[in-house]
Amino acid sequence: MIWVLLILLAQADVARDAMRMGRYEEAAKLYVALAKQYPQDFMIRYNAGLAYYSAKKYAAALAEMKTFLKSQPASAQGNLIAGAAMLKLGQACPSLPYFERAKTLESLPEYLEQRAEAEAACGHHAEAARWFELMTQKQPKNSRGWYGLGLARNAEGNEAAAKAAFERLTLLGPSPELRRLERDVARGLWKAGRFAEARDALLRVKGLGLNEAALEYELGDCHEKLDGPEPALPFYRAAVRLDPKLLSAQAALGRALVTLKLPIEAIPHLEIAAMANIDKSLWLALANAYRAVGRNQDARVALQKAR
Amino acid sequence: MVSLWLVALLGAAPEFRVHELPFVQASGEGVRKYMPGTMGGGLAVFDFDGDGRKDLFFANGAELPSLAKSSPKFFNRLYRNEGGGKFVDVTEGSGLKQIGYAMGAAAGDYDGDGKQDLAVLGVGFIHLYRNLGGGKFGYSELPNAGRWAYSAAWADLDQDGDLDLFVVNYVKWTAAGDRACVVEGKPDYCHPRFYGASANQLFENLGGGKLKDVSVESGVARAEGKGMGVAVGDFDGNGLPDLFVTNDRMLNLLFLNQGKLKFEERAFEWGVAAPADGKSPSAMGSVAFDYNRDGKLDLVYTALRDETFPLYRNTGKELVEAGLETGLARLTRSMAGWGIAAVDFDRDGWPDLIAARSDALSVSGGKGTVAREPLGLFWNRAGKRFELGSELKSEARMYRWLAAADLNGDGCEDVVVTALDAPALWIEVVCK
Repeated sequence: MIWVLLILLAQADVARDAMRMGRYEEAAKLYVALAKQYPQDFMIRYNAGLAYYSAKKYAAALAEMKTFLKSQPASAQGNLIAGAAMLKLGQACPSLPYFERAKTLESLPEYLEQRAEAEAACGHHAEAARWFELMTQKQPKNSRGWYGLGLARNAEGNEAAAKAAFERLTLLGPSPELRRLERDVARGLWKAGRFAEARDALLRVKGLGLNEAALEYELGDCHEKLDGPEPALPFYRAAVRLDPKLLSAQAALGRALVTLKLPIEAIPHLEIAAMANIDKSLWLALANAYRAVGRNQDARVALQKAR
Repeated sequence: MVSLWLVALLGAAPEFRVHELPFVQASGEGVRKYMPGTMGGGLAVFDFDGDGRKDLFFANGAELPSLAKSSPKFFNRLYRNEGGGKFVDVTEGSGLKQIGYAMGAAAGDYDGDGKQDLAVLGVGFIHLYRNLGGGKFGYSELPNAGRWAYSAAWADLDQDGDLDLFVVNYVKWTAAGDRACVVEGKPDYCHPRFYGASANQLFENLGGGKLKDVSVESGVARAEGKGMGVAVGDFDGNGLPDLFVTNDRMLNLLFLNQGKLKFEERAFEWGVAAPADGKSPSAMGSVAFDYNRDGKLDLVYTALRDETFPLYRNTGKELVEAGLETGLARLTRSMAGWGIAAVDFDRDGWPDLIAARSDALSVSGGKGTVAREPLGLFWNRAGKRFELGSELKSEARMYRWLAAADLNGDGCEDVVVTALDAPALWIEVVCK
């Protein structure tokens, strides 16, 4: 009997070491193997769930944690991880009972953030605001709290409170949340057709240190909406340089180049975008480019695909 | 002295006087946005009584979805130009039928009797009105198989000395098949992609007042579209009038006239099927004009916001985009337009442009009153570039279609423009 316990302890040590070293998936597999050997030890399930969650394998984490909660339904930690995993899986509303059962942990910043996010994602804006507010009280320098609070207040229709929260966020200085806020603002302005303001908001995002293909593409798009393809070109080029797989940027660059009567340069970009079948009209742009360089047979084939 | 030279070089901008006409277009728009409600406003300017003054015909809407002219506000109207800015409603007793939702009209003396006749297009019909004289019209119908006839042009396409009729058909639409669409939470007009395309029609004038549908044998029925405007002109320089048809979010069509009423569709080969970027715009009204005075007929058409009003320069072999080089693309990027006309307003020898602007969406829809726009005036600077004119003051409305003609007999072309659910305007151009 003792040797069984010793083996268990040894295996648990290996799993614990893997966890400590950040090899979460390996740790999870070890815990799962242990759990099969020792099904009566519910804490192994908990550890497996925690390891999967740390490895961002949320579906597996949830399954392990649910198994654990069968034997320990009141476990605050278990409920918190299960709720957080559900939130990550997009099951915000079903996650709320789990967070409710973990409420004894509400003094923890992690709890506050997860709960607030879940309430917000479930459309409970007033509740979300309440939890984000608690979060900002506990951690006034946590930009996530102010950002979430601003969004929740805005969703409630309380624009003044939203503005105040966003101002606090701005005062904290550059953060991923501030970038997200400026990006949200830019998208809202873009949607409203206020392209100059959208461009300025995106430039502020860039000023916050974001160097991202999608951002360059959006900047190019704003420039194109305002002044045509020529001023957009450097942004589209930058977007494609940063991420050649960003098809929207490949398409926009190809379209801009063919409009600017640079068909030879446009063709490779249009070919990439057209072949991904994201928009039939890209075949037409490609057909126009082929026609412009005298590749008439290719133009006819592309035209057929555009029709 | 310098300024005088500049004026001589640029031409003198005329004075534009804006007058409201007695006609008010009735779109029939209700809470539910049935597609025809945003499409109407066609007109014809023609001298129906032979007195030398251009008269006005307005195609009018109908109740929706019944398409019935259930009230006099929906009646098509004919106004006699009595001079001095006076237009008298002479619809009563003219023989103009009050049937259906009318969209457009085209005037021409198709029977060669010296009197201007009229084709009226609408949802499910082509009505032909033969001018009998004395303010009376004889009515007949042309076959259109229930299609939504939108606009038309009379032209001697086979060069036999009489006018043939080309009819542009829009989408396949029935009231029962109308889609309910929502834009930003409010009912609004649907994108044309929800409706099928139609073929256009060509009627050969056989003489003696007889028109024969030759759509199939002529080749024009081979290509379908969602047609809105037609521009007639000899684009390929073979001496025969060709037809350029704008389509709503579909490839435009260019029917090149091969003679003997045979047409080949060559929009792609000529570069006008869609802009180079491949995005088919909501191509609306179009006009063929020689903006750079090189002797070859160029082309411009209106479209919606972000689409610009594409301008094409004719090289003799193709029509190349000239919006960027002339600045027209930049000027019109934020505009939406319908009717467009080329008129040398400042009489400097270079045709300028005027556009009836507004969005296709409803002012009561999700985008609201931004759908309304003022008229657009674009000065042609020696065929090199276009500049936005500020001399024409007009309030923002849902302008739709327009026609240019000298209404006051002063030798300068004026403009008549319609707007949805608003009075039509006479833009009097005072000669300088």
